[in-house]
Amino acid sequence: MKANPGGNLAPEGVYGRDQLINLLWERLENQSILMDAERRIGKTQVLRKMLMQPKSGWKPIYRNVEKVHSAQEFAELVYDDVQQFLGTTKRAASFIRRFFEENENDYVNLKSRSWKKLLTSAVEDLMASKSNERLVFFWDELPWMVQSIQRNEGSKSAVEVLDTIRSLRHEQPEFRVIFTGSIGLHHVLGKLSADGYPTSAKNDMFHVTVTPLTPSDAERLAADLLRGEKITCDNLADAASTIAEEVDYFPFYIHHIVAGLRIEQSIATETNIKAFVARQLVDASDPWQLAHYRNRLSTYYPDGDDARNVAIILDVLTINPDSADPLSVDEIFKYVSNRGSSLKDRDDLLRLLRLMDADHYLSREIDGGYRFRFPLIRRWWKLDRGL
Amino acid sequence: MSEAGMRNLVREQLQSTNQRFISRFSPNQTDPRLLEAITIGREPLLQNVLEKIADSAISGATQHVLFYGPRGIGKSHLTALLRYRIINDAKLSDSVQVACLHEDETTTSIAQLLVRVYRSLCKWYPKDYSVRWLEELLNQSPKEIESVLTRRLVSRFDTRKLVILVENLDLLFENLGIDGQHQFRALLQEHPFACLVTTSRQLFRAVTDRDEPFFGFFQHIPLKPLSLAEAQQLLLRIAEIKGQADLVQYLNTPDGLSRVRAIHDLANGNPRVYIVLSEFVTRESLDQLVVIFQKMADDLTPYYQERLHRLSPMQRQIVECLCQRHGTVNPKEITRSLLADQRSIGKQVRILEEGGYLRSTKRGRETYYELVEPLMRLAYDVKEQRMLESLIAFLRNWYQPDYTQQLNIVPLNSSTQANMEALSLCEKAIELDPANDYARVRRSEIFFSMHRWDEGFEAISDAMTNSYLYLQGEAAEWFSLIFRLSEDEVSVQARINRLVDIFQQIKEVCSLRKPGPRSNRYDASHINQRIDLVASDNTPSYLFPYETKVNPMTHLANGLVKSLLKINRNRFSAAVLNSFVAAVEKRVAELVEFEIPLRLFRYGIRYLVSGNESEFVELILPERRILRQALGLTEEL
Repeated sequence: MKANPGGNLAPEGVYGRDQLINLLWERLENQSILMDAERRIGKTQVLRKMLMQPKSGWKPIYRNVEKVHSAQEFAELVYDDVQQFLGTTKRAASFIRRFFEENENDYVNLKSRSWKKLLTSAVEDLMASKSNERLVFFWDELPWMVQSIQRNEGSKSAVEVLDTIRSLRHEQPEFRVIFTGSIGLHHVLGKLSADGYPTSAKNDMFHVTVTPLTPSDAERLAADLLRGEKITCDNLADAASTIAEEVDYFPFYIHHIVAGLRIEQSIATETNIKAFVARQLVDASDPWQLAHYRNRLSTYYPDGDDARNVAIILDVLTINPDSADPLSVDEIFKYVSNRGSSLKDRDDLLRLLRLMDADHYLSREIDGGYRFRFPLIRRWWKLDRGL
Repeated sequence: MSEAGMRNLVREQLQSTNQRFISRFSPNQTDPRLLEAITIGREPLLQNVLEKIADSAISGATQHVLFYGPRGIGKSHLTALLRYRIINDAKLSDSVQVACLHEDETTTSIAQLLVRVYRSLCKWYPKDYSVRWLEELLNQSPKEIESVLTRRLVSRFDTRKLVILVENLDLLFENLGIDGQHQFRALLQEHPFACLVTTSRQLFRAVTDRDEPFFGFFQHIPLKPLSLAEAQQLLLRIAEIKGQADLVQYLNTPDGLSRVRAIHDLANGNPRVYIVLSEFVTRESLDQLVVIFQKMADDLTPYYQERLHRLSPMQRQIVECLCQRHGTVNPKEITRSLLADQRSIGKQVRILEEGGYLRSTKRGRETYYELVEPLMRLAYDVKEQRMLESLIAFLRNWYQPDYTQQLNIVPLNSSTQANMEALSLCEKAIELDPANDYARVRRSEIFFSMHRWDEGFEAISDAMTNSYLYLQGEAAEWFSLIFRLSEDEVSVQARINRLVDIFQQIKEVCSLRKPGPRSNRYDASHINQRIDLVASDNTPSYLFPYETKVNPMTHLANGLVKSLLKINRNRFSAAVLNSFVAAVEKRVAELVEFEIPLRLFRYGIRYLVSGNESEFVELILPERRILRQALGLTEEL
């Protein structure tokens, strides 16, 4: 297998996701799914593997909806997919038939009428159809679409789209979707709520976060890539283990390292691998764009002093001598107060910690303590902040 | 067919068709077989990408690559070659087809992009794709065209892969706008039928920012400048193809390599400069270097002028300002020079840096800018071009190979007796062989180390007029001895005066002599010839013809820079080190040969005083590089 940082993988190239995929198919039996994760962690590859190798009885349709800018476009997209699934010539759906009769076969008008009616009826027809396969929509980058509709048509329209989909899930118990997106949907919903349009559009969905690979899967991936790229190693297993560990078992970065070693025509020794990763972390051009974790603070936490306080929390967790050992909320509160945070009280801190957890900065341990979710980001934060 | 056979074929074909030898600005116009023949240092990259494409065709994965590097680095060359190889690879051509989006076309929508892809397929695969069908389709609405072409391409590449070669991806994305980029990404995610192999001058926000749709989408591969050995290899290949046997022979000598090295410092390893150079280069012109550079300048001037015309008026002024300076410039100085607002200058220099025109170096909080391509000065008038000529003349002499043995410096603390014994040995050696350069030079050094200054200078004069010296190394020794043995500024001054006077006199003597027959001074035949001459005639005048084309003053000036390495910074106070600069400046500031060396010496002493490499920040890169060599420092990262 060739290293492929960024491109689409063949299903066989998607490592270590079988358990997650089984879980997703299992949950789809009962409810729709919201799948999120950090950008480039491999959400789309999970969907693509499900698309290429669907569970028997299911028919997934994958759509990257970041191209959609209006509620109308979205409804038309769903309508087109339903039509394709049902087969336009063999089985004209009842709604479509009714619409044609009412509008003297005006196809153009059909699509341009009320998006809500188009969307609802398309799903209704889909559910009413008798098919051996059950359709499931994979709507990738959905938060982008909602943001875009909000920008173009206003918050009301964006919320209506989400609420319509939610109503359909309730009214049509068999209707299934998977939402994914690199922007946290909670941020988009937060903005809509701030605009006076609160919505519980995702409350009925099964929420799953895609995590990095397990160490053994990551090592297997690294070893297969090293073999595929014919990179010289003194010890393949050691090299694969070093690569996997250096990047917290992120498949995207594992592909990157192997591709980089190939370009540099390096031997995959521990020293070379570590030097390669170190260069990515300190390179002024920031090839892995880790500065994003700093730059996005003001966007993600726009209220008051939140962005500054989040940075202080991250500082505190960085200088904690044992990175594997989480800090309790009380400890964090004590240390951030010493470093000049403006957090009002413990509750104020808890509010930020929850948000940081949702944004993948932190993870909460069983004992309630917090630590950096990804040691790689902690390592970069330490270098970036000169701590 | 063997490589040599292919080169012969290319030569014959090009001669018969009377085309320009190599298209410098549009590799697509060059016979791909010729591109193959002159591809240097890119084979591992080409193989890597071809393997990725082959893997995609088999596995169903899609790989996307972005090659980036400044103009002339070989991006178009690489994509042209990839297309050629894919089309001509029996295995790949069954499972992969190629479409090209060239840089001179503007695309503002996905429909237009798909039309261009389809047109390209019609051109390269006329049996598979119909222009007529496309022309009929163009009567439809853009949305319909997009939809039909998407379906068509997706079905055509259901079991195969389409490779889309895109030049200037940054421009394409800029023209598509953010909505177009989202659409494009969605298309490629929903229908992974195509691998993108793209190029751009530098990395840009649309591919590096996590908020942008194409973040992390491409594997970013920098195209590195050619190394010195690769540059030499490129010139050799072209010379071979052109049948320039004497040039091939010369390029393989240390002298030839030294000339390439001088050009290399200015060309920044940019292959285009070598390709342009190859049009004019001959055995003689490469040796002279400045002449060939003047010829090249004539040819490259319109190219650089055209590039400047693409800039905004303020950006042009900034570039002009940098062209007029010897060193690097900070935004404050640019602001003062252009009578402009500092904030707008700051913004414009950043744009120029992102655009690959400027390079920055930081010292503390200050940022210093210089031209990425020193040859950009060619866009301006003669004055700025002469600045480059001085630099290339300096580089030519600087890189002149050192054929002499590394001279052993007489230990300064050695006993007088040891010095006297060494002196006696030198006298005997000169008596046996009057052309023993090494002994003559060593004699002068021994006198210096014994503080017998007048005899030392006499010995230098004697060595200069009677032997056949590689002057540069010795000049460095003499300077360093003067510095080391005379801590008093007045005596340093007097001794520098004396040294310069000797070289000045030799320069005048040389200028009166006519050039002798051309000869490679150091090849075996010449050494034999020289031995014969020594045996038959003991007069030294025959040696001069070889030196008349060399200005001894330039050697002395280079020796000044080389002496830096021999100055022990721990031995002298800052005041003494600075007094060396003052003493040298008083004597040589007016001498044209010392213009660049004196500047380097000044910065070199600053470094010896402070021990801080940030002292170099005000020098341009080729000069920084030389100074680092002179001080024995590792190359700048």
